[in-house]
Amino acid sequence: MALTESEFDYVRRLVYRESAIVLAPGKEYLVEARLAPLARAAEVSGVNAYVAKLMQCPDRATEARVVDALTTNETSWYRDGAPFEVFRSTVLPALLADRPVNQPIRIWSAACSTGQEPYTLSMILGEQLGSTPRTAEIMATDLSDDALARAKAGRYSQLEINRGLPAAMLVKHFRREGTEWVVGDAVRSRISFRKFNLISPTPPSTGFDVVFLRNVLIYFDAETRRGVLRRIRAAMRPDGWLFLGAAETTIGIDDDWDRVVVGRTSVHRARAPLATAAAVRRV
Amino acid sequence: MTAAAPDIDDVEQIVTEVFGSFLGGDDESLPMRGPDTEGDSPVTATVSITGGWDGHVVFGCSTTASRSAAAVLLMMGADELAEADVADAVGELANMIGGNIKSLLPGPSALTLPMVSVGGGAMHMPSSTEAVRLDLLWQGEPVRVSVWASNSDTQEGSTS
Amino acid sequence: MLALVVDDSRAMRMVLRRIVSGLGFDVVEAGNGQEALDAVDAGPIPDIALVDWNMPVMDGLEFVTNVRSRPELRGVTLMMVTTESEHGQIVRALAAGAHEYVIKPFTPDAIAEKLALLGLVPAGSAS
Repeated sequence: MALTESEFDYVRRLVYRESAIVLAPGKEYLVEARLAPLARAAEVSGVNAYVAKLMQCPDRATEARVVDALTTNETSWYRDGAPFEVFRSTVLPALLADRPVNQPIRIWSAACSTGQEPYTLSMILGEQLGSTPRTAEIMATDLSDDALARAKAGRYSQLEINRGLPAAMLVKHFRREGTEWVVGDAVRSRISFRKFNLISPTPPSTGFDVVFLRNVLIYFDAETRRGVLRRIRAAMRPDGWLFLGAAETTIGIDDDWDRVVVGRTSVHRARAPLATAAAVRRV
Repeated sequence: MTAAAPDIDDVEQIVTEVFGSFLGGDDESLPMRGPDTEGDSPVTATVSITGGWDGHVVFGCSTTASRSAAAVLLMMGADELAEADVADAVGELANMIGGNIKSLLPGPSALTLPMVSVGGGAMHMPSSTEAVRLDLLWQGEPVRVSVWASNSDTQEGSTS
Repeated sequence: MLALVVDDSRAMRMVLRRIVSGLGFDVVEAGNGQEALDAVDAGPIPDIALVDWNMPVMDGLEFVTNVRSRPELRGVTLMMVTTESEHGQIVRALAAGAHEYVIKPFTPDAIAEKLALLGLVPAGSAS
């Protein structure tokens, strides 16, 4: 049976309160599809009964599972590979030229979901830094405990591995264990995982050279987007680089960013004071 | 030495991925654990593994299940299917399941082309022992995957 | 764009034909490596070959090796689509000259994303 209006409204408010993600009317089907496995696991007959029970006696654990289920995105490795290519060919060389040799390149994967994004970045860093003395650190954060646990485990089914991971990277960086493929230690060693909610007022760290925040802003309303972008700017070095999803932009939300078009994609940089604007154009 | 055998849960995972990818993706159409059944499947496809591990993987199912699977893969009505179509489809299922099971076992190994028996009797597996038998129900029809390990110790045990 | 689908199973050729023709390719089919070479020689030369490994007459690895040894076929992108999923087998196929590798079973999105990696379809072509 379809969710009633009050049940959907309850879920919508819960998700907004916990994650600032907006579930627009018409997303009832999404709520039903994502919560059905939770209802089954709880041995409750259907999503209606599951939500109704939560409304009657709210508990934190169930609420967290509901928010998890509705905020976790399907990801693939190089789906929309253009940002990774720009990172490899343009952003990373620019950073290596600018930063002192003994200073690690710091990257924040700000909605890392099940880990494909930070692992892909780490594989690229491994290949580009090679035997140079340069080092890099990736902080990978997500709101969802479930996604974060899967990201940390670094174990992927064959179907997940098939999703846009170049075969050369697969054989170089993964080993098989049973039906799964496991990320190698060298790739893991650059990454630290941490739970983080983008709506919280303080960032997990500061001084990032690069932030990946792809396909997240689309779920927020305008006011939340503005706040998230401001806080990210504060967590970045002034000449850092921000990657958003292909359909996302800072324009009209937070005008303190410049959009730099590189090849088929674009990168965002904090708007520089006039005196240093020339340096930005070096791209 | 003890012959390695795949874990039955891993075998089930593989079958689920194969059926989920090609024979309808929603949860209801995935095969579920079924009751252990006696007797042989009327339709079987066998692939053999040789190398790091020696043995066979047998995919068996009812005639109805074999025709349903072939109809989905070939986008044909069940009444339009020739026996060769059913054999082709069942053979490809055995190939996919067997190839993935091979990767669970010590390698490197080679995989043979599938041998399919439609409506025939049981395939005989001389000098092999059934290491895993997974009985499933798919659309209410029985489906079985069994893994047979060659009794290679007796064949190769003559090292002095 | 022309795709050559090489697989000894007609059912698998149907599955792949549906996916790549949905992405805008014309499709030619072959039931083994030798038939695939014959198809290439008869022309036109395909932009991509999707190649199974285990086939009668000539297997996919031999087909890939053969194509890579012929300079006039340098423009043919080779993608293995096979149940062979041992780490070492993937290494062998790449060393023989395969550009990409998809493990069976796969979803249509997986094929589309690999073709996007190879620059043969625009990113985001997955259905």
